[in-house]
Amino acid sequence: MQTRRFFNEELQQLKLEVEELAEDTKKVLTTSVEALYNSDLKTAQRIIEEDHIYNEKEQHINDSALVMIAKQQPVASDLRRLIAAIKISSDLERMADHGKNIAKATLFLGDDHPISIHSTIKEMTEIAVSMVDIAVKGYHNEDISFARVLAEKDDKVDELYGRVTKDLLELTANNPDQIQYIMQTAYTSRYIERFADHLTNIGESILYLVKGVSYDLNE
Amino acid sequence: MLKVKKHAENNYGESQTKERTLDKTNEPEFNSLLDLRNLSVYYGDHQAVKNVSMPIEKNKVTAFIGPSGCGKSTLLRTINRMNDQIPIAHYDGEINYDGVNILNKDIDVVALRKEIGMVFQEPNPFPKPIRKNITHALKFMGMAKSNMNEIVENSLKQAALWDEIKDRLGDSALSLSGGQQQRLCIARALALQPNVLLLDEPTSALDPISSAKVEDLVMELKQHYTIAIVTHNMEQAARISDNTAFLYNGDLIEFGNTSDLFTNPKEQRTEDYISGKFS
Repeated sequence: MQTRRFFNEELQQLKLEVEELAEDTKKVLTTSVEALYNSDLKTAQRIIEEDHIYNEKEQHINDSALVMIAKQQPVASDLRRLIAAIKISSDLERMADHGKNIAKATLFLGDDHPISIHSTIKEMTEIAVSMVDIAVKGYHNEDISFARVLAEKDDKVDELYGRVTKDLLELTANNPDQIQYIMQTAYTSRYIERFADHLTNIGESILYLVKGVSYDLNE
Repeated sequence: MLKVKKHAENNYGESQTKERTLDKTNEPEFNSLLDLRNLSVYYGDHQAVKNVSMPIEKNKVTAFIGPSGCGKSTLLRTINRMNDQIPIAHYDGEINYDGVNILNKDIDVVALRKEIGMVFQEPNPFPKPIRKNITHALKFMGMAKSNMNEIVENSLKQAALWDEIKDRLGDSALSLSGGQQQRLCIARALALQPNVLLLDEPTSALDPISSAKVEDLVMELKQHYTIAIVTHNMEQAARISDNTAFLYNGDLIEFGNTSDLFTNPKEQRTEDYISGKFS
């Protein structure tokens, strides 16, 4: 007879909620970048309006974890699972915010702006989305072998971000009248870069969960 | 549901039930099976429980916590009239169960205790074979013999004990471990098909593994039974209960949802007690 079955079930449910929120953030980023490229203002507006859903999901995860800490007095890996869920959900909520920010940039640009969106932004998005998949898999299986891959992919996103900002800087020199539009696309690449940074934080949280010690994947 | 009333009048009209208010909580709705109303319990001149009003919700676990002597066991024992065994014990107030005040003198307490079963701190199996521990009470209550085996099996299964002892039902109950004995006592209470189970510190004499098994069992049983538990172990109350009542010196200091009470208690005295700062 396994003991504390109900607590284990609650932990599993919390894990599912975290994974669901991670899938949400992936969808928000993908959809917001598609809306940016397509100048789809309607979708961008919907993304902004739906952001509260992810805030509420994060709050629910935090509340559940708090009640479990108070009621179940978890120790060792169970305690780390709850701390990790709180930290990861905070990162995920911020990631959804970055998707919302991209949608705001889309609205600012409007459907008749004079610039083409830098193609590297799409590449950055694809890498960031693949990082979500890797992080979710690692979290689900409590597997730390992926951590280094996350760090490497984050480095790649950082490199692409550098390339985009360099290109856009040159563009502003030749098109000073378009600077406000160019800046919006620069911001967008910055939001994706931050999105990926949060995924390395999540990788660190999973390392903490599994190993019980803190790591810095950016070192 | 309750067949314990002989001559007692129904003390509560339906309208009164709907209008009831709770003294110690702002929680708007409880699906109560038992309602304690202005309950006071005395041992001679000493008032052990002071004017307590609270619900015990159906199919939920309600925990009573508080320091020694706060009145929690007295309160629990009042719910199935165990205090009647103490000549100097007497009550004021009411405990409403299915529209009947079970503190009424005309109540058939044997029938009441069949519906509101109790398990005590120390496992107290009869010094008889395991099977007879279950059947003894059934025979005493005049229940049919034809389905005895079925009742024994079901009761032991509900108490999560069947798999461990199904091949030794003829062995003495005293040969079981402490944790198994306590689960047998729970099975014995369940055999009478009660609506309510009262547990008076059911794990205080058990080791941590056995305690965890009983805790899991309690959470399983609440699907079918209403459970009230007294525990010295605050952490246990937090883990397994849905509602918690904190008593001190016979007063109900706070009653509410366990998650709320353990994360954001309304009363400073509750916070002090659950955080171990009580002086």
